[in-house]
Amino acid sequence: MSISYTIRMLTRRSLPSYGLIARRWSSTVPESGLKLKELHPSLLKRVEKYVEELHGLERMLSDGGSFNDTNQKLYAKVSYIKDIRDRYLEQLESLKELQEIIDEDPSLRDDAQSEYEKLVPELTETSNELLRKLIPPHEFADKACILELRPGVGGIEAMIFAQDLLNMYAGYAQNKKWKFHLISKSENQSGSGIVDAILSIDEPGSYNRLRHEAGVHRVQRIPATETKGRTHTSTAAVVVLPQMGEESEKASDAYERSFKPDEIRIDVMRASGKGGQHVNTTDSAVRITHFPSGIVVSMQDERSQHKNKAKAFAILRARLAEKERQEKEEKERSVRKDQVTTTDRSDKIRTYNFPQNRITDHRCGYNIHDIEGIMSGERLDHLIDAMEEYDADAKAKELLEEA
Amino acid sequence: MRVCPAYIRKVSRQDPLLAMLVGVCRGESQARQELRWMRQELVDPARVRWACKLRSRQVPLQHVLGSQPFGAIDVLCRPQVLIPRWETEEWVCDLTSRLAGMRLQIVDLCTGTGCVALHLQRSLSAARVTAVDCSASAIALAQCNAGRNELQLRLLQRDVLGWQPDEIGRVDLVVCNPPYIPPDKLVRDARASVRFYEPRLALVGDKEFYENLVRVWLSRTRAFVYEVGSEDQCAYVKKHAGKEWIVGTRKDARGEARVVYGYRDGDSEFARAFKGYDNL
Repeated sequence: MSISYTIRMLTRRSLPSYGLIARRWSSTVPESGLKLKELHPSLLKRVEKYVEELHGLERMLSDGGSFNDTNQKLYAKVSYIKDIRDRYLEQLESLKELQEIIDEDPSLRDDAQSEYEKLVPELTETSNELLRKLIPPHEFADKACILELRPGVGGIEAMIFAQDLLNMYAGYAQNKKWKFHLISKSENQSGSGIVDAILSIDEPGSYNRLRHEAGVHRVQRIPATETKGRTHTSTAAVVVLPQMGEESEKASDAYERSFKPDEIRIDVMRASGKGGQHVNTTDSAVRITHFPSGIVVSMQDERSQHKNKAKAFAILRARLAEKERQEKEEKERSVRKDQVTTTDRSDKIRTYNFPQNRITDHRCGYNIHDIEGIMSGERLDHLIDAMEEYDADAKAKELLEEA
Repeated sequence: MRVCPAYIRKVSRQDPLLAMLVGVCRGESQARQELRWMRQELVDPARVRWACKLRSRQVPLQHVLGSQPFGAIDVLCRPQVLIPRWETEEWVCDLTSRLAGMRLQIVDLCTGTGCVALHLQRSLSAARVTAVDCSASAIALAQCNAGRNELQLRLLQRDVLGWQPDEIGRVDLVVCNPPYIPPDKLVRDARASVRFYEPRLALVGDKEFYENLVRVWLSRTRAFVYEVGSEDQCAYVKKHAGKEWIVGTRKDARGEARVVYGYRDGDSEFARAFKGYDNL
């Protein structure tokens, strides 16, 4: 039996009034920094809509219908939301009762007060959870992803760092037992580091997990090439794209035909000369230019021209989708006209400090002291979890302000 | 184009194998690419070194590695048979996507490795493809490639130029990649690797096959697609095809005339298929 319940029972009996003391204390007791934070009615209305949906699904089930895959997912989601809502309402109710006791019944004020203080954070937690559930899922949440890595400032050291990041993500995928493959990679001429690399992670939903990785990563360490022992700062950029379709030849052919002829140009990078039977070098490089967006994708890793083209189209498709999403987000933001801080793509998002064995995420201010664990991909989850939580909170705040 | 020795020395300091390839590949990026492919496919360092040595003597990469991807299929390559070119791959891939769903009797002349016929057969399940070549080694290799890609192909060893093709009945489409380098241009235009290691039979020819097309095949088929080496071969076909034929040229991705194609005026099925194939 919970304390709040006991108190409720006790208040039924009339107790001698300590009104005098109560009045003297009343100035100190109620405002102790804990304020009741109720959800906005419009948000609650949204929750009620989910609950109605749940009832609808239950009705369908009781009428002898059966769930398909999407219904099943929806059911799981809304019943979870309903659970949180019930908990929220219950906690809110008991808080209100406690408040009444505090206001009216001096004899129980102390108990009620401590109980009240304990319940408020719980309620906040519940309402936050509810809020997070109300955040609409990301547009590409269920997509697989493509990671593009490129060195930034810092010369060869930056190239080596880009290679390290590539290993980190490959290790991360390996740890999770996700399928992944390298779409393309061009190495630095001296053999250490990369000039660019594209890694495809084929697990559905990996986009949602890795999307916060997009941005500029900064490294501070003493490079292997450094002779005087100075610490250098270099950067590498990561772009995360959603996989919009298969990388197969059939899919790419169909996708190619969805463009108007004047929208794209497919170039081949060939040696000079007559071509045809006169030349037998393997010329398989393909470059696709998409005029409306100005995106250029070139691919040359495969011996097969066909495969290069398919890969290039897969990447073009991913870039276009991501671009479209960003533009939409931008537009929504300008409609709201608020000054939500956004992470620009040019902002550094994370620092890897080797001498201090520290990694800091600048967006959520999260620190972790395990370079090795992170760089091998094993403990990257900690960072991603922290960032996901931060993002959910930010989105929830937006939702609150909107309401 | 010659590569200067100082440059080769410089590359050699990075990777001696790369230095062997720079000359034949005419540049470092292509050399790197080829070396990577060799390492990928041969794995064993001794074999890679041997491959580089062969390559430095102008042996085509496709002979060194033994195969060449062609569209959705992978074909084996042998010294007696022409290596499939990317230009051919390009027009064949485009053609198959246009012919999708049509029930066709297709004849592939001068099939060589069988790449064109096999690609058509793979992509057009409703089509029936017959491949013809005069060389026994080409027929054997095409057979081999058909098995490798698990496809059925009707193969005939006939000399196309002296053959009255009454035995194969109705034909809807004739495709062909004939030898089209004029004898006097071979030395000037063809790369050393082509001249040394590829069969003249598959390279040297002028207008014989286009003459043969006009004389023998036009009366027996609804449409044709022939690869060409130059504009005047296109012009020849255009001039001699006759009034009932609509003849067009298709350029490759480099902007060279690469294909001459045609269909009978009023054949709506092929007119639709070839719509936008290229300028007429």
